[in-house]
Amino acid sequence: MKGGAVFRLEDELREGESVDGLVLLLRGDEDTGTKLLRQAARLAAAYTYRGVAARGVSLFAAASEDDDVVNAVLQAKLRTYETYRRITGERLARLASAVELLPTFKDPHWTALLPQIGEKEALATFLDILGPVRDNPVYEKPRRSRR
Amino acid sequence: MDEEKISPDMEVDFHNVDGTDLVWGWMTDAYHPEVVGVGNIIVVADESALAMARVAELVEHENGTIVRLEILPGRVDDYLDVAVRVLAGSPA
Repeated sequence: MKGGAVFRLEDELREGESVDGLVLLLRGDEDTGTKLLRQAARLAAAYTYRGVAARGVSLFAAASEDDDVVNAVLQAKLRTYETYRRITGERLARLASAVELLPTFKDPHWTALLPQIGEKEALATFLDILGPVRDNPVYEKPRRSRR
Repeated sequence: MDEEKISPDMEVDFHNVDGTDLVWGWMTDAYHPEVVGVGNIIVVADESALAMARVAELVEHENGTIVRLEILPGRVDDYLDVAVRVLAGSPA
């Protein structure tokens, strides 16, 4: 094990924000269980929350469903993805009941913290509520693809 | 002619943005750790998503080295086009 810092997600919470104020969350790309677990593992290796590894997935909030507002978030944070998903309304409420939604790091970043018990079910809910895949209007299709 | 393909230097998740407002990842996700040095320009990828990035900071952590990345504007294509053009000495 190397020396170095251990990071606490508690230290990265934004004050004055709660899930009650959430209108819309965005995820770039088409998620799979494997991809979500990979991101959860990366976060867990870096951060703890309440003394245990923080297994969570990142999302970005938009203040409204207005296309201009959504596109601004896509441009700032998710422009590299060809597609994205919107989580709002009843699906957002279902997500909030399956995971702990935390306002983390800098606005508009949020973390969906997976539960220690019932992670598999929470992931299934996450994938179920993501909604239809949408074309990202700010995405610029490359001529060269990755190897 | 075969389509040109881009081999990224490192895998990241572009959703992973921390309090510095930079994208972060783990050095263990670099295909070429030797090029992931502070100030270097590298190509990062999340599955099919690609971007140019500048390595902003390396942070030692109990579980390894965290790489903080400034994602640069534009597409990787744009940078490669400039490189090809200037190497060829053509203004077009």
